[in-house]
Amino acid sequence: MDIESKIKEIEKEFYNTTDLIVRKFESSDKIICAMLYLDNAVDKLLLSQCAIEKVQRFSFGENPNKTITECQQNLIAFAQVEKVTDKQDIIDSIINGFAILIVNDCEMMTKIGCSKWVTRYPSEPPTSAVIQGPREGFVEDINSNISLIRKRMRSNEFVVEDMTLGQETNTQIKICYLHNVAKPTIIQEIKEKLKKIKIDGIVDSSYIAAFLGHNRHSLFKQIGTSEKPDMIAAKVLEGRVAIFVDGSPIVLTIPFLLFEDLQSSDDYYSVPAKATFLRWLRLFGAILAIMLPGIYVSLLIYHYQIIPIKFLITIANAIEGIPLPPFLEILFIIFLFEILYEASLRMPRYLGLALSIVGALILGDTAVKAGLISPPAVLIIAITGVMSYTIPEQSAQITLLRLIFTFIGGALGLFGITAGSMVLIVYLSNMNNYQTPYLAPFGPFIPADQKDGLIKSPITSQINRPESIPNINKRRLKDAREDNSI
Amino acid sequence: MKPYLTKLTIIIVAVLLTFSTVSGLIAPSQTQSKSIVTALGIDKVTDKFELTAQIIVPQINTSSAEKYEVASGEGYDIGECIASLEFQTGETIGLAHCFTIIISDSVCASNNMNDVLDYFARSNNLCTNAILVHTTDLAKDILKYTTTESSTSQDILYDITEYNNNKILSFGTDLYTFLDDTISPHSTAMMFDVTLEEEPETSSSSSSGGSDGETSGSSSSSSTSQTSKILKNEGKVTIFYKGADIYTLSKEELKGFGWLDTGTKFEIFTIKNIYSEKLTDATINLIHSSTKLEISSSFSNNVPIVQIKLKVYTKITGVLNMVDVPVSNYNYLKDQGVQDAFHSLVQDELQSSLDIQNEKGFDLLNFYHLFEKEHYKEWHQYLDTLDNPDAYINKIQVFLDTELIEKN
Amino acid sequence: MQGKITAFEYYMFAMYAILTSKVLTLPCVIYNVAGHDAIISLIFNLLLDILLIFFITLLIVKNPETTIFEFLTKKITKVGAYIVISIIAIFLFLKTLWILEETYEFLIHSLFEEFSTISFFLPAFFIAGYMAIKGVNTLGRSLEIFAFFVAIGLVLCFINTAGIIPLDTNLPYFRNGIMESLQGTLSSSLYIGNPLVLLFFMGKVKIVKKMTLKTVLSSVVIMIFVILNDFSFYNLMGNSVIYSSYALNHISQFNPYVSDLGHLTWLSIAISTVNLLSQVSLMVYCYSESARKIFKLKMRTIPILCSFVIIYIVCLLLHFNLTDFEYIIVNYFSYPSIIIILSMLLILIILNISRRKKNETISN
Repeated sequence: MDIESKIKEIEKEFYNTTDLIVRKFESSDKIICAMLYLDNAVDKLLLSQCAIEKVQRFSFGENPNKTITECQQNLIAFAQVEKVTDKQDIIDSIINGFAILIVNDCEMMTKIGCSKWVTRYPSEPPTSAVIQGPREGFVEDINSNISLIRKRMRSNEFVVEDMTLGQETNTQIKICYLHNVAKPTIIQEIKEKLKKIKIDGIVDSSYIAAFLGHNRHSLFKQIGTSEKPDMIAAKVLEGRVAIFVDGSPIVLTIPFLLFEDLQSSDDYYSVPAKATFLRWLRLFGAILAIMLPGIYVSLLIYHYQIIPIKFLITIANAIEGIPLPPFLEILFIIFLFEILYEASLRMPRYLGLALSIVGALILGDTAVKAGLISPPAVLIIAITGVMSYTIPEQSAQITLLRLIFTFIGGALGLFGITAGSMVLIVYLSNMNNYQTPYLAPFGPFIPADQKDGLIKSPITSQINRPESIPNINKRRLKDAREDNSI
Repeated sequence: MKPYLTKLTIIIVAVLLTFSTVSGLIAPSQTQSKSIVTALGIDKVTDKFELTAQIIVPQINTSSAEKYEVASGEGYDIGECIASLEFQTGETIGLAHCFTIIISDSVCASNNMNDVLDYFARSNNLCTNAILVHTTDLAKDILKYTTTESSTSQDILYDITEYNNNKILSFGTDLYTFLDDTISPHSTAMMFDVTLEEEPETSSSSSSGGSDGETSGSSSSSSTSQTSKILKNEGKVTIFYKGADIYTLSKEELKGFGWLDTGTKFEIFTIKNIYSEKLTDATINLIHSSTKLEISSSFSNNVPIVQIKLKVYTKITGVLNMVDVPVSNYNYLKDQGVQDAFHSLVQDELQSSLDIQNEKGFDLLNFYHLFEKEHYKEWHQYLDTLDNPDAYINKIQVFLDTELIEKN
Repeated sequence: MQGKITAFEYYMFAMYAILTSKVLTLPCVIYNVAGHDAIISLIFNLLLDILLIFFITLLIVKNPETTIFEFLTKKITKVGAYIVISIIAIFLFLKTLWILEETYEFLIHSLFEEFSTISFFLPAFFIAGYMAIKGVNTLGRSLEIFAFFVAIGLVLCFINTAGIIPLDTNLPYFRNGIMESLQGTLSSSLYIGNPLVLLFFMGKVKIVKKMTLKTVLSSVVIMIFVILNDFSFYNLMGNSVIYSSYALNHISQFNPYVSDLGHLTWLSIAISTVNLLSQVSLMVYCYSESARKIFKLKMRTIPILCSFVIIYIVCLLLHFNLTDFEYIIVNYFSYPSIIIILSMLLILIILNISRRKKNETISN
C-alpha cells in the first residue's frame, strides 16, 4: 500500500478530524514521508528538530524496508521509538499523543513518543492546605502524577500496573502498590473489578470509585481519596493500593476506613499532642455538626426541662413571636444556608462580595429583625455549617445527616437522636470493604492501631503497620533500641 | 435498581408521613405552649388549698431579660389546684424548673405534709428536687415580693436556703429529704423559715412641669407614710414531726445542732470567759475551718447513751482581755482553760438545743438511726420496754467530748 | 474474621448482660420487697449473673468451634436440645417484652409528656431487628462502640453525686436475717439471666488466652459500677425510694449544679436507651436464631417480625403499665424465672464437669 492510501485510511479511521495533522516531507533521496499526529497533543518543536529534520537528511536508499530500522535506532532522537504495523495500534498511539512516521513503500511505521498534553503545574490542593509539610498536589496528567509519587517511592517494590478503561475516552488507569506490603488478594480483587467495567467514558476518578465500592447506594464513600502525593505515599506504605486516573487529580486508595478522613497530613508533620487535640476537635465538630440542630429542635419541642433555666429564658425571649415552629424554622434556615452556599460556589468571583453582604444581611439581620427566624436558630445553623467543614471530605454526608437528624429530633425527640445515632453506627459497622471493617480500629477495637487513632503517638512508637489494613509485612520500623546501629 | 429505588422511596415517604402525623414535628416550642414555673407557693384558705405559681413571661427581642408573673389556683388537693392554675394561664403548667416550694403555716398546721407533698414526689412534671421553705406569712405574698421588677434575683429564695445550708444547718430541706425524714422512724424533718416584714417608709414626692410642663400633666407635692415589705431570713428552722410543724427554732437554738453537723461552717465564733493559769477572763475569736465528729451509741444499765467526740479545726483571729501573756509566743489552743471554755460553750449550746428537742419530742439529730445502726436488736428491745416508743428521745443521755485543734 | 466476634466484643456482651435494667427499674422493684437490704439483694442478683457468665464462658472456651445447637444435640439428643433452646428462647422473648415496655414507660415518665406507642416501638423494633438481621459481626462491632459511651455515662452519673452520698442511710444490713435479701432476689428473678444470650455465641467467638478470667473480671468491673450507682440511689433517696420507679433518673436529679448545668436526665436517658436497645437486639438475635434452627427457616426475619407483632399487641392493646408489669413479674414470673436460671446454672455446671471427666477418662 502506498503512502497516500495509508494516510487516507488513517484519516478515515479518525473521521477526517481537522486536528489530525499530516506533515508530508521528503528524505534526502526524495522518498516521500509523512508524520501524522494530533495537533496540541505533541511537542511540535521537538518533533521537528529531533525527528522530521533528521529524517529529511536521511537517505533511505532503494529499499526503505531495510533502512527504516537504522532510521529508528540511530537517527530519531526520542526516548521512545517503536515500530508499529497494526492499524489499531497506530490509532491508539495517535490518540495517546504519539506521532506516526510513515515512509513510502515501507510496510513498517514508526511510533514516536513525543506527547505534550496541556496540563497545569502541581500546586497545593485547595481542600488539603497544611501549615507545615509538602504542598505539592496532583494534577490532571497521569504521567506527572506518577512522577510525583515515584519521587517519593524510590523502591523497586513500588509497582505500577497499567489499564485502559472507557470505550470512547480510553482513559489510562494506573494501579500502584508496594509489592512486599500490599495483600495480593486485595490487588487481585481490584483488578477483577476494574476489568468488569464496560463504560463509554471515564472522565474522573469518581467514576471508578463508584464501581469499586461494594455498596453502590451507600451514603458514605467507600474508597479513599487524596490530592497529595505525600498522603498517597503514606497510605501505600501502610499496605493500601493507589489508583491513578488520567484526567483527575484525585487519587483513589483502597481499602478505606472512615477514620482516615479524621486524619490530616498536618497531623504527621506537627507535634503529636497538637495532632491529638485536633483529631478530637474534628470528631466533636463533626458530631455536633450532625446533631446540634436536631438536639436544639428536640429540646424545644419535647424536653424543655433539660435546658438550664438561664438558657431557657434567653431562648424563650428570642423565639417569642416567631411564627414558625422550631422544626420548620430550622429547616428554613438550613435551606437558605444551602442555597447561599451553592450560589457562592457557582457565581463569578467579582460577585462574591456582593452575595456575602446580601446573604449576611438577609440571614443575619433582616430576617431576624423581621421576626421570621430567631437568633439562636441562625447561630446554631451557622456554627454547624462551619463545623461541617472540619472534615471537608465528609461535608456532603454531614449535611445530609444533619437534615435527617433534624427531622428525627423533631419527630422523636432525644430518643430519636439516640436511636438515630445507634442506627448510623450499626449501618457503618455493617460496611466491610476489601476485608476491612469500615469503622476499624474502633469497631472492631484494635488496640495496636490506637497509636494512630484518636490519640496520635509519635512516629517512633509506630513500629508495626496498622492491623486494620490487610498487609503481608507487619513491621515498618526498626526500634533503635534493638541494636546499636543507630 | 428500579425496584430498590421504588422500595426505598415508598419506605421514606411512609416514614415521613407516619412521623409527621403521630409525632410533634410541627408542634410549637414548649416555651410557647407551657407556663414555665420557677417557684410555687402553697396556702390554705378556709378548706381549700391555694397554689400560687411564679411563671416566666418571655419578652420579645430582649435576650436575657427576665420577667415573671404570679398566678393562683384553688382546689381541694394539689392536683386540682394545678388544673385550676392551668385554666388561669390557658397553658399547661411546666414544673421542671421549679426549684422552690414555699409552704405557709396555714397548710402545715392542719395537714400532714406528706399528703401535700406526695403529689410532687409522684409527679412526672416536677423533676427537680425542689427546696422547701416555710413561712408564717402567705406564700402568695412571698412570691409576689420576689416577682417584682426591681428584684435583682429571681432565685433569692434558692440563694437564701443555700446560704442557710452552709452556715446554719446542712441537714437538707429538699423535697425528697423531707419525705424521707418524715417516713423514717424518727419522723423529724425541717424547713428553713422566711418571713415578710413590713418596714415603714416615709416618702416625699413633688413634681413640677420642667421643660415640658405644659404636657406633663399636673404637678403635685405630697408627703405620705407608706409601708413596704421586705423578705427576712433570720436563720430560723421549722421542725416537722410526723408531717406536722411543731416548733420553729431560732438561730441561737440551732447552734447546738450546728456543732454536730460537719457540713455547717460557722465562720467566726467567740469563746469568752476563759480562765487558766495564764489567762484571766480572756476572749478569743476563732475561724471555724472544719469539724470532725465521732458519734457512738451504747447502752448502760438499760439506758441509751450517746457519746459525742467533737474535734473542731480552727484558727485564732484575735485575742482580747488577755493579761500577762504575750500574743505571739503562746499556743492558746493548747491552754486547758481555752479547751474547757470551748467545752462549756458547746455543752451549753447543745444542751439548750437538746432541751427543746426533748421537750417537743422530735429527733432532729436522728439518734434513732444511730442506735438502729449500731445496736439494732438491743434498740428495738429497748423500745418495746417503753410505754410510748415515740418518746424515746427523752430517755437518751448525751455525753460530749470536745477538742479545739489548730489548723495550719 | 467473618462470622466470629472478637474476645473484646464478647466481654462487651457480658457487660450489657450485667448492666441491663439493673440501674433502672430493678432497684425500685427490689426495694419494695427487700427494704433496707435491697442492695444486698441486688448483689445476689449480680452474683448469679456472674456465675452464669463464668460457666457459659468456660463452656465456650472449651468448645470453640461448636455452636450451642450442635453441642446440646451431642449431649442430650436433638429433642432435648430443642426443648432447652426453646425454653431459653421463650425466656429471652419475655425479657425482651419486659425491657421494651420498661424503656417505653421510662421515656414517658422522664422525658416525654406524650409519646405515642408507635413513635417508640417502630424505631425500637427497627433498631433491634436491623442489628439482629445483620448478624454477629455487626452486632459485635456496634455494641463495642456503644459500650464506651454507656461506660462513660455511668461513670459521670456516679461522679455527679459521689461527693454527697451519705454512707450509712440503710445500715444495718441483715437486720432481719438474710431472708429479706433472698426474697428480694427471688421477686426480681426475671431480671437475672441476661447472660444466657452468651450461649448463642458459642462457636462464634475468637478465643484468646485466659478468656474466662478476663470475661469475669470485666463483668465484675461493671458490677461494681452498677452497685455504686444503685448504692448512691438508695442512700440518697433513703425511705423515699417508694416514690420512684427509675433509679438512674433520680440519681441525675440530685445534681448539685442543676440551675447552671440543667438536669442530667439526658445522660441517664442516653445510657439507658442505648443499653436497653442493645440488649434487646442481642436477645432478638438469640431467640430468632433459635426459631430459625428449630423451624428450619432460611432467615431470621420472619421470627423477628412475628415476635415484634406479639410484643406490640401485648404492650399496646392490653394497656399494661409499669405497675401492672411489676406486679406480674413479682407475683407470677419470679418462681418460673428462678427455676429456669438455677436449672441452667446446674446444667452448665454438669456440662462443664462432664467434659472434664471425659477428657480425664480419655487421657487415662
